[in-house]
Amino acid sequence: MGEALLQIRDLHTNFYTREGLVRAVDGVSIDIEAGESVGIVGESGCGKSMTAMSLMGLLKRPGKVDEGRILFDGQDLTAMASGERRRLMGNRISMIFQEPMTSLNPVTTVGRQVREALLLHRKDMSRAQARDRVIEVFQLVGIPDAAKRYGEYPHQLSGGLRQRVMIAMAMVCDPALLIADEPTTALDVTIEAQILHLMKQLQEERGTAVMMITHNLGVVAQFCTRLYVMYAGKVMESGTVREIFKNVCHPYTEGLMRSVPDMKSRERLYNIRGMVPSMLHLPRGCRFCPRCPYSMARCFEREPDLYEQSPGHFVRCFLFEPEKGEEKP
Amino acid sequence: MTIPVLIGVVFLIFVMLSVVPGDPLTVMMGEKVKVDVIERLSESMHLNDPWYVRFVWYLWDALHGDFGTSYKLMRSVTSLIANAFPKTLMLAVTAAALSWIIGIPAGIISAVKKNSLADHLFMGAALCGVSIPAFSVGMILQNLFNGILPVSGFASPRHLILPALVLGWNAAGTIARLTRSSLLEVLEDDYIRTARAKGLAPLSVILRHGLKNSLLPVITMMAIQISSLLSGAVITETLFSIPGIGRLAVDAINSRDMPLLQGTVIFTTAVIIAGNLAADILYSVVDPRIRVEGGK
Amino acid sequence: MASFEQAASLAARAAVASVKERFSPEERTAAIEQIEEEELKYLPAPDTIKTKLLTMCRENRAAAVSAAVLAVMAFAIIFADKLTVYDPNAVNLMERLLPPSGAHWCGTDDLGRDVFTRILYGGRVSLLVGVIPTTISMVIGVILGMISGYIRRTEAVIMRLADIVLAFPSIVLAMVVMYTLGATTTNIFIALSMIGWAKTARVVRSQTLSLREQEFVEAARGMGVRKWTIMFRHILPNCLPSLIVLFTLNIPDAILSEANLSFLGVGTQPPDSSWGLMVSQARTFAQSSPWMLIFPSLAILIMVLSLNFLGDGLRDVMDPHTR
Repeated sequence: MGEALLQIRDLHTNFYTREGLVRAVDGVSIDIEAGESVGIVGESGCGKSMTAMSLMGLLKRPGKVDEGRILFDGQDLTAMASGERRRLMGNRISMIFQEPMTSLNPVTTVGRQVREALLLHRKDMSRAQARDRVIEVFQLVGIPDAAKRYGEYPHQLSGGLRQRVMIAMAMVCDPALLIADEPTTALDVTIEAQILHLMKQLQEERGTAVMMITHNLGVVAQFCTRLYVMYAGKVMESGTVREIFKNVCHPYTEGLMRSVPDMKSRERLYNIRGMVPSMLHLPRGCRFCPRCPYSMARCFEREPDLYEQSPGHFVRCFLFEPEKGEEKP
Repeated sequence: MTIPVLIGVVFLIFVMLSVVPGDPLTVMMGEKVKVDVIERLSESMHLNDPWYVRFVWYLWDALHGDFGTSYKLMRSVTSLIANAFPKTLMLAVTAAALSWIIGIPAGIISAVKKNSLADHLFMGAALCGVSIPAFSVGMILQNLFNGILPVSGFASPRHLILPALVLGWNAAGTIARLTRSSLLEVLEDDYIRTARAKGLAPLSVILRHGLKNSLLPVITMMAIQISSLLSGAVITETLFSIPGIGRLAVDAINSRDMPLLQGTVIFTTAVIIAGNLAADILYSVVDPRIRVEGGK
Repeated sequence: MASFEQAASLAARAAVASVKERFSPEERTAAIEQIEEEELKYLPAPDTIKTKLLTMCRENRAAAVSAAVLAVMAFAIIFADKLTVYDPNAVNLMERLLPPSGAHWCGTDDLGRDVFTRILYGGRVSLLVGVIPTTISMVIGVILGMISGYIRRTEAVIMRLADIVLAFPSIVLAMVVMYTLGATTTNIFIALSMIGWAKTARVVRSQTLSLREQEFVEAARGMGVRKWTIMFRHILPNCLPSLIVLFTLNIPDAILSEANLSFLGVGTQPPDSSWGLMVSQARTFAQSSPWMLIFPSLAILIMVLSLNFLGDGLRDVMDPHTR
């Protein structure tokens, strides 16, 4: 595979809550190549957002990265001094959040908020230059009347426009990696399509790598080339989107796929039995076993590893454990 | 909205003071006045009319800046107030400035360094500030600084130091507590996360994105503070013998001087209402959401 | 999206595996149930007022200590006659202005009365003034606040009234009321109740406004429940946590107001005594006999500070959103 742009290695993010230790991210490894778009999929609370927050260094107390490395361009973010790390944030790595309604400061104009990121990372730019550049980026992300919008406040913009502002803010410094945390969940379906289209276009034109965090497999199918499925803090299945959609292996992924409404089918919509387990207390064996339709005795006793089902396609399920004596592929 | 409240205030005070027994003219001139003099005076002061007629007269005169004549001091209430108010204003403004200069930074430091030693010290002091009567603090200070600073009267700026400290100490506690809790709340907001994701340093995040938002409730508090400062001025002026408007009200009560009491109370209340109005305007300047919706 | 073939292949794989495993469906159900049962233990405790109080005692040491201090003070004040050998009003000119000693823990005042004894007895007034007007004003405030929040027609009148009361500097209004009614302890209660209700009414009104839009209230309305029943059965219980907080924080206000009124000479009248009156009586003697000033001041400080700490602690657990 070579040196990927982003290599997350065995990341452990723990929350020391009053009720006990919560292992929000429990040994996750993710690779993202330059220019690649990778989906991280799972139900809410599965640790996908926490992986992104650990990456951005935005964890709130009592959360903490306890183990693991996050290599970006070969540099370990977790070992960096905070000032040095901040020089990357919003510059080489940037992020779009789920809530466009509340993610912008209500008492500052949107233009200034975007310009702030630019002035911070491009010290040689004058205010006027930065302003022009911001308006240019506003036009690029499809904000009509960009010059006028520059001086408006967030509450004057619609949800879709605000998300475009957020994208402009993220793209203004031409990042190598863009993390999008459910960027379209809060938007109307029609707006969602527009925003995804815009992101795809920007990604292709500028060669930005994208980490798309979503619970929506449809978005992944449209947008991503590779996919990680997370459940209760662990990666359950990973591989190319093409491979996984063709040959779904993990029972959880299968459940997710069957939960997507299908226009053509009149069959009753599938739902995965039960709920996401309490992160305070996970089952002893495989964390999915109580909800899994195929769980076996050993699933209740110990955790499966990630088994390579086919080249680049990993599955954390005993059904795909290589037989004893059988040669590992 | 402001006008009905003001009329209500005048009405309430008028009615309350009208039911107090005692003939004002006896209070005013003593017992040995001729009956016909009293008659004539009663006539000219509308004292023989029913209370609601007097209320309308009072309102009419008050609108023209005439709050009547003090029974005891035999001077127009308006001029007495005009004389006393600047002193109260100076005291209150000094105290308010003191409370902001101390309270806001203390609140910010406490919020930023939540649960640190500084936080506990500041918040402990703030809580003590709102937990002890101002006159206790004042008396203690008077005794500590006796001979070092003037402890009574109003002759020089030095005379202002102790009273302003007493008045401001309580207000600083309130402001510090509010600033801290408001900033802590704002720091949980999503746009703070956005600002951090941009790569802004923690201090810049707080100053550029947190502070302005967190000061919105503090502005409201400042308006409410005008009321508590004027309340506190009553105590402080009595304790430090400052001839301000609070002292005037206390004197009026002690000498049962109804027009003077009425005048001072209505005047202070009007000042408070004006202060609230000013705060509303200030608020809309700071918060663009209100500015655009306009009047809402 | 997933084709039946794939599902079938996964299921077939599972079928083969489970034959090898000899894992019966019953065993599987049992294993799942065991896991679910274990998980139940980790569910958060239900949020009742009692559990919230326990949480506060466990986590907020200042609040817990304050509660204990208040209990001790209340006990000492209530059983004052058992705790001291002196009569609070017995004048003893032989023992004027004595500094604190073994016999007089907090010294004596200008009339030779034991300061500690007077603090205990004076605490009765301060405690009553803290509790009674606060209770009365909260009852008034809750009723008016709920009515104005729930019945729109009444809103303008009640809230303007509250605005009028809140427009006054509180001490000045209390002074005027005391001037009108005359300075007695009962009138202090009346004056403070007349002022205190407005703040409570505002809080309760805003809570009612948001509660009335919530589903459970709309559901009750939809079922034809009478509005008074809705107010007292559905809205009031949901205001309770903030009311407890408000109550705790209103008591110190009332205590301080009484102290201020007594200082101005329109509060508690001698020979009765309250902490505020004791402090103000100490004025002339403060330089030579500071104990007359310091001990009653400390009594007020400790009680009010404890109430504030307790109130803050309660607010943190009861309704963290209002600050």
